[in-house]
Amino acid sequence: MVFRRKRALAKKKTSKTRKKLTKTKRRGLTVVLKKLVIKGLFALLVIGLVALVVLDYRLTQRFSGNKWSLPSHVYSRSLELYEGRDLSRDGLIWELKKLGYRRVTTLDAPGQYRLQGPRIDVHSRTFEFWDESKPAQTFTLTFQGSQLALLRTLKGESLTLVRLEPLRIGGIYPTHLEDRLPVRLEELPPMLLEGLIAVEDRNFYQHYGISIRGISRALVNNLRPGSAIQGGSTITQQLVKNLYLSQDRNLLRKGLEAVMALMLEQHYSKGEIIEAYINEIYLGQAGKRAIHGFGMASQHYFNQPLAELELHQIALLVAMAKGASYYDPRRNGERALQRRNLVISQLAEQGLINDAVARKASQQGLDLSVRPGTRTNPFPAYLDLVKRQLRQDYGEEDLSSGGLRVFTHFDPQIQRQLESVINTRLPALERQKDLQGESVEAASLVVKVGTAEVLALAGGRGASFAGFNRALDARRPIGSTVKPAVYLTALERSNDYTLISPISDEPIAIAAEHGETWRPQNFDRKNHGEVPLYQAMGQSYNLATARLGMALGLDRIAETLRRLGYEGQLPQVPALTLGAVSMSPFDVASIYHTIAAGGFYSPLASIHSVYSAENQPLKNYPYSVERRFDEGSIHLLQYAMQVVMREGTGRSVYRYLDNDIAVAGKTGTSNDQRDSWFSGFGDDYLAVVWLGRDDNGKMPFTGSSGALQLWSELMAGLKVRPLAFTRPENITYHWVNPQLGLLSEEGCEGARSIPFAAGSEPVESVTCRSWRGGQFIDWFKGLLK
Amino acid sequence: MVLVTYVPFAYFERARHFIPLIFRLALALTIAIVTSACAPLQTSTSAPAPVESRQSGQASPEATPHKAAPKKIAPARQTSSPAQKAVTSLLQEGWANYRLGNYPRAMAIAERAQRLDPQRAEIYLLLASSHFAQGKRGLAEQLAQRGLSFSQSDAMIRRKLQSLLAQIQGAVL
Repeated sequence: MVFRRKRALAKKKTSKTRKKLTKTKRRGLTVVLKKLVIKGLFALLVIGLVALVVLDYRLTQRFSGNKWSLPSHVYSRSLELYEGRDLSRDGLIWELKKLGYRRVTTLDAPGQYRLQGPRIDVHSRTFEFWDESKPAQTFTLTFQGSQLALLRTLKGESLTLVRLEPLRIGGIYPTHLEDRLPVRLEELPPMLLEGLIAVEDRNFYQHYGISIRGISRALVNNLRPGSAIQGGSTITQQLVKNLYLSQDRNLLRKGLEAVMALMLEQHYSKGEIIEAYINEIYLGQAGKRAIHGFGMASQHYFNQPLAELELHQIALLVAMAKGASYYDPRRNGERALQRRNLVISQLAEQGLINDAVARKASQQGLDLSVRPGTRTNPFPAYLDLVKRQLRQDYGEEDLSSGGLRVFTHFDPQIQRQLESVINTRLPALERQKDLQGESVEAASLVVKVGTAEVLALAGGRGASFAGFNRALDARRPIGSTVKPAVYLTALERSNDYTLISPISDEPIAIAAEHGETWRPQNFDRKNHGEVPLYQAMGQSYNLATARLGMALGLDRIAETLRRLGYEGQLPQVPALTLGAVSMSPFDVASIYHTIAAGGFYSPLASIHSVYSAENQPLKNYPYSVERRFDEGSIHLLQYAMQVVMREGTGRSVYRYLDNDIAVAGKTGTSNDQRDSWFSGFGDDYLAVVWLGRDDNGKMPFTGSSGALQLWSELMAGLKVRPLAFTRPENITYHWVNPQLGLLSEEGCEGARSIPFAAGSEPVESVTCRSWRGGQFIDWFKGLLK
Repeated sequence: MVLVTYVPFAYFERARHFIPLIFRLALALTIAIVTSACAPLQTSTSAPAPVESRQSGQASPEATPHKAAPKKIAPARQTSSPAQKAVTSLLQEGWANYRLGNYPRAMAIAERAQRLDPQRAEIYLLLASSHFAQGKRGLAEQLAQRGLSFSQSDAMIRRKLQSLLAQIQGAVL
């Protein structure tokens, strides 16, 4: 109603004042327009303010939080140095070089070593270990043959134990593949900071984020048609561009960059800004990975920590800030060198260094490391194992962006041995058998006996190429590798079996699945009649083992394999007794480790601890152990496994090893020689070697003529210590005649000292007839009767 | 020398039944004296043949296998590790941390020691004690068992391990 009345009133008014209308109309329009403009401007202002607030929020959020998703770093074991340890001078130098230590004539900083005849002086670096923070220290080492003979301070005081920092063996990277090693401002070499500011942004400490002169110069240049869009950016602008903006170049983006730079300067100190810049800047490419920040660049180009760089190296990094691809010193050496020297002369011009120092630095070469110090993955197979074990406890996100520090058991020196054996012995074996162009594959791992630490791992012949990891994933029939499980099952029943129990090695036919009959054969296609148990094992007789296995029961053998540590599938078929079960080398190592460790099972481990980027412990993987077998039974089995090496299928090992080195092991050959295995151990190392073809084709190798050859050379190279074959209390040694199964005496014909579970030895003795002395004793005894 | 011992022996073996006991004894005595006098010069066929000495790791793969009789497989005594001194010093540090109740650090040090010499029984005593102190009885018991298996040559540690084991098992009951 009110509206209608108003409208009617309005109509009256308009009709009365029609003449005035045109005037007011015009005035009204201007007012409306004005209002619109003001409203528009206001809206724009509001939008602009909101945008600024949003921008500000985003800016500060990104800057104050974790600016980057940091890759996790994976470290090797650290080399422990103590007098008497096995370590050659070459071995130490090799490791120092890998760690990026520089050979010098006078030690004056961490990361250096000096050769003094048989002595090596080292200035080690600080390192945040999992259990302590190790300061840098100097010490001297003297070698004798392959032994570290003396470990002293430079003043000659004796040192008990020193460890080097571990080697970084790889990283787990975020999906965008940025790799960086953030450094704090105070850790930065002062010359790097000063140099960067001198070259990139002289007025950094004076401006508010943008340089008017720089922008106007850029504008003028950019207005010229055909000219490239030019920089003139301050360090703050560069940081904004790198951290927040896309890489397209246009004026709008340039404006945004300037606004954001001003905002950043409002919020943060110059120190915070330059620190972010130093860690954000792109400085090169390592394969698919982008190298960001000076910390990682120093590793990438010099294989050295930033703190150890010399002036000419720092100048190169400063030079590269202008364009890492254009001045890539590995690809465009000459160009990079020129720019580096330009930087050096600028530093001199600005009085940061004197002319003499500048001249000397300019004369230096680029001094790059032979290989990038940040090879993504020099040991892909081992890293694969580490990642698999990590994924059980961490999400992919934590791993690839949390900057975790992962400490592993990886031993680069042992890996080096393993790779060298595969690279030399395998081609030699192929040549022997005239196998050209056919590639036999290999996989192997080395485990530390007792701690169950995986020290080295090869997933194939080309150990440095990532790919199918045969050591973990190639599940192949293990053949006679299974036999220790069969014999252990027997030896655990000391009332029924001893090492000299007679086992029949005569043909056997066993009903198998689908109405078929299984008729195993010996490798030499002969039958050997009744043989003592240890000999059946030593000579790897199939008929005897199949008979023994069937007598024991397949379920018991399967149970033994489980207790030894095997977790996979187990087909309970008669052929299981001869190894008709497919396992990976890792599985086999796990089983054999339980035997090597006296019947104590420990899961094979690659990681010992994980720390956060701030060095807080996240997770430890403590040593764990579980008694699975009586030590006595294991002692008997280890005896039989030494018979393999001394008298049986493994005896060719002593072509490589000194006769005093007791080792225990077992060969394995699958049907038609498709797989060649050797698994065995000394006192300190256990190794499993597998050879085979990826297409599962036949090979001219048995376990003995193939894998054992690599195993032997590896063990010789590792200087394996002889098995500490200590006698458990429940084991007694007796002289027996194994063929007759009777007690005998030392020196009697066929007598052999054999361990027995106490009480399981034979009761009756054989009359001693034998070699002269023995005969004489007999005769002498006879006289006295 | 071989003749001296061998020929008369073969001769008397045949004659054995015809000689009265007293003569047999006298003869045996004489021969025993003769042979024992010769003993240092006797050679026995089962004595180990000279073995080529070869530096391990330097063997040429083409070398012929040892023709020598395989070495006897016999139990060995526990030998001391070259890391003994280093391990002793780590153990001291580990026990010091254990006494302060700093078990994670004590275990980290014990594990470092274990890497140097996994057969030193005392390491397992420290590990087992630290786990037990943190209420992990199961693992503590297994570790003590592992320690016992290395304790043959160290009576004191053996006793300590046994008493710890009794304590752990008592605590479980």
